[in-house]
Amino acid sequence: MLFKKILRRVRQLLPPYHGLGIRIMISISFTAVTVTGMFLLCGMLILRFSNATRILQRDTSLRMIEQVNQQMDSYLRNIMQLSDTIYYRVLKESDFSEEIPYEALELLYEENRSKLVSISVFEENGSLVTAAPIYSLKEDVSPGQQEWFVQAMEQIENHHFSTPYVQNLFSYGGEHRWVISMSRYVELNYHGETKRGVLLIDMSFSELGQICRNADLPGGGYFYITDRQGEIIYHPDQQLIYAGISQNNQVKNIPDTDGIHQVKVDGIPYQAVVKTVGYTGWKLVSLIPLKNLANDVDQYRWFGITLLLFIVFSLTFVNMHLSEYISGPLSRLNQAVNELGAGKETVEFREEGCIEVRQLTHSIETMVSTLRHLMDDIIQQEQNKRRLEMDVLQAQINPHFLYNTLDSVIWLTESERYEDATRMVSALGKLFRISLSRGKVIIPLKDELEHARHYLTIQQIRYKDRYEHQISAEPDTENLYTLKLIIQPILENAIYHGLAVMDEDGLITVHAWRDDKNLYIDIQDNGAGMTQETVDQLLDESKPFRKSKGSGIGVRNIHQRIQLAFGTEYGLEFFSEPDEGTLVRARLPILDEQAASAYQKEGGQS
Amino acid sequence: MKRKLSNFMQLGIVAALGISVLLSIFIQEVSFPTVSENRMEISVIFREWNSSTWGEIRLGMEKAASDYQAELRFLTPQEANSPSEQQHLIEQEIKNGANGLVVIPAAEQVLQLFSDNKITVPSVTIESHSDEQIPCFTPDSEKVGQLLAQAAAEDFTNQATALLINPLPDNTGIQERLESVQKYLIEDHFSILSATSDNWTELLPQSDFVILPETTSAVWLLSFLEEEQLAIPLYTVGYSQEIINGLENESIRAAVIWNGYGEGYLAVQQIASKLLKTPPPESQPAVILVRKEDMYEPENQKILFPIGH
Repeated sequence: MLFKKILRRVRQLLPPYHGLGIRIMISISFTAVTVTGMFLLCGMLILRFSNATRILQRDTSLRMIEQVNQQMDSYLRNIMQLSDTIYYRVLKESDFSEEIPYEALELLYEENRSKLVSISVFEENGSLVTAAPIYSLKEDVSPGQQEWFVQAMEQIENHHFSTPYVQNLFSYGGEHRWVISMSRYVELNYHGETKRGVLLIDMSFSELGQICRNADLPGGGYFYITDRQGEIIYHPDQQLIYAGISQNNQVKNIPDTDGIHQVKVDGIPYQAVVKTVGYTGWKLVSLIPLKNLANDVDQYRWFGITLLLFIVFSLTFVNMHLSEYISGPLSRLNQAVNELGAGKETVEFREEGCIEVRQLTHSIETMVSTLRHLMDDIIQQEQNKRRLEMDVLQAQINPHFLYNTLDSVIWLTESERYEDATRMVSALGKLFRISLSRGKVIIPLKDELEHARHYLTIQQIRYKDRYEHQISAEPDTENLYTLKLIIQPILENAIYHGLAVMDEDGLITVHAWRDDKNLYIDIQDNGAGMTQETVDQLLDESKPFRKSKGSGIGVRNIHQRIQLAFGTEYGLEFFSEPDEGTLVRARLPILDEQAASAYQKEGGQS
Repeated sequence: MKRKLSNFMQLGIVAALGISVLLSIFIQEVSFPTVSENRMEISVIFREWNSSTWGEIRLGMEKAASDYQAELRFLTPQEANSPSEQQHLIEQEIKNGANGLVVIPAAEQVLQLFSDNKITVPSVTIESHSDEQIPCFTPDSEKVGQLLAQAAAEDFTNQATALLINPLPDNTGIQERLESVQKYLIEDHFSILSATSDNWTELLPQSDFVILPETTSAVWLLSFLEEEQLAIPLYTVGYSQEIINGLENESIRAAVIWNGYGEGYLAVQQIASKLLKTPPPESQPAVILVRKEDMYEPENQKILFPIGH
């Protein structure tokens, strides 16, 4: 439930998917997933590694102190065993009244020379019985008053270990040696009489210190040893502490109990591990600054962070390129399709990217090619259809006109107006010659005007000169071309509708003129004229075609032909006033011979 | 346009991540240097070399150098106690880029370099004191002289004649110790004979005891007295093996001692602290007067006898 809420909330915060490109989508989602995964993985690794490092450091400290403790214990036990050997195998076996067992002591000393400075035996009064190696006791020393002697005599069951001191009993050839003394109570046999005495074994301090020095603690840590009272036995800075330069504050602050402690010495936190050294009760302590321990963990953390950043960097880089590799071809394909949709004729389709995208590009290219072919076919079909329509319209004119004209010729012949009949038949012949025009649709303007003239001649004969006609053309229209047979139907309408009600004084004018862009043919009559309503209905294809007297071919037919041939910006315009007359203006493109020829070849709108 | 913006943003993110990687590497390099590339170079210029006299100081210096990752260069004039050679060595070391100097000046002439501010690196002197600006970790000469005079006064009545030998008349530290001894002996109304290395043998028969506050010369004098079988009590300074033996066989009646190991340690620590801009050491080596009968006292042992090397 909570997860769903969070998911919903995240979705609300995120932008909608449909607003993002495929490239961004791939980049963001891949990067987000991989980065999240890497964060979790690296975080867990760092955490586990840090913990493992801490545990390892703790274990190392414990192991090291255990190791040093064992070495120390072993060293001291060796000394105690040596003292037992000396006591039970040498001193007990000897009768000191007869012979001092010097050779045996010397032998044992030689065997343990690296550890020992001297072995010596004293009587109860402090006088030297024997020593190995042979050293002369200094004259003014009193062994019996020294601490090691007193302790041995007071606690006869124990081995006593001293703190380090400079042994001043013997003259070691001018040397002054730091020793740690082990003393014990012994009984000396003098011809059956037992005398009390003390066995003293002086251990080399440097040898004992070497055990601690050899142990390498992590993080700049070190070992030191104190006795039960906190007196320093060994410390790496012992000389400085003795000189009063270094403070032994750590010794004062460390707890006595064995185990791991965290302590502060001079404000610096340390990890202290305390271990009691076997028989002696000495405290072996390892001290490691926590800062140095944490240093290792920090290093791992930083390494993890660097690694994480590098992986995120690499993944982002790779994702960026991968998304570009996938989405780039798709984007370009999309762009090409858009351009195609916008009407660009030549669009390049680059087959690139993944195999699926390549296949898609290839399919779209093939589809576009097929569509183009289909469109070309459709256009061709449309053009053919238009031509057919024009031919049909054209065909609609010719029979009507022929019928009417022949009807007039019959009528003239019957009326014995042979001259008029001859003129009409002559005009009809010329008219048909122009109409045929070798099958051309576009003819010179002058032919079209000539055609109109012949037509009017015929009609004038038919209508007994009830009207006059004038046909003229501006000089700059001389070499222009026009659609064939567009004036004649209009003249026919003018005669049948405009002038039909007039008995005389009818006038029909045909005038061709041009401006920069268009050719205009004005056909005007001074007949009955039309209301605006009638004018509006003439070209309105939504209104039914009104059959009336005449050829039956309406002006709408002419208008459609012109528009089919040249486009919708061309066609007929009507200006009419009732009882005033009508002006029909045909607007056509400027076609010179070359344009007419080209149009003729195309057979339709260019 | 939108695509370009998107490209720029992606490039920006990649660039930012790349910079972050480099930055984290840089931080690691700075925070956790694997090797200290710029180790401090500290030159130690002795006035003479005698391992018995100066060995402990040197060990103390080496310990401090180890603690502070410093590199020490020990130099000694070819001619012992030659101030001109020592001056040359100092100048040469500064020129060679030493970061700090520890000098045991042979004479006033060498100390003059410090007074003239010709030494531009952190410096410390041993034995002879220059001025307040230059730390000196040898026990105060006044105190040393006082202890020596006090020891002699305990052993002799003021009818006795003291021979004060100055083997190095140009050495300020030794001169100051002798001046202090002389001051306190005069206060106690002792007769005083002053000698140098040229004329002390002539004055020796006239004296009841000798005070020579310089270790190397004292060791030499000890061997001379032994050879000549002269039993004139000697009061001196130092912690060399010969001095200790002299104390033990009572040819030295009393000696003022201090811990040479600590002295050397403090000298290098002082320079390292200055270079590292950490608080300087506040300690001074403890100074004690030792006679045969108390040389094995636990606290005296700790100062007199080197441990654990």
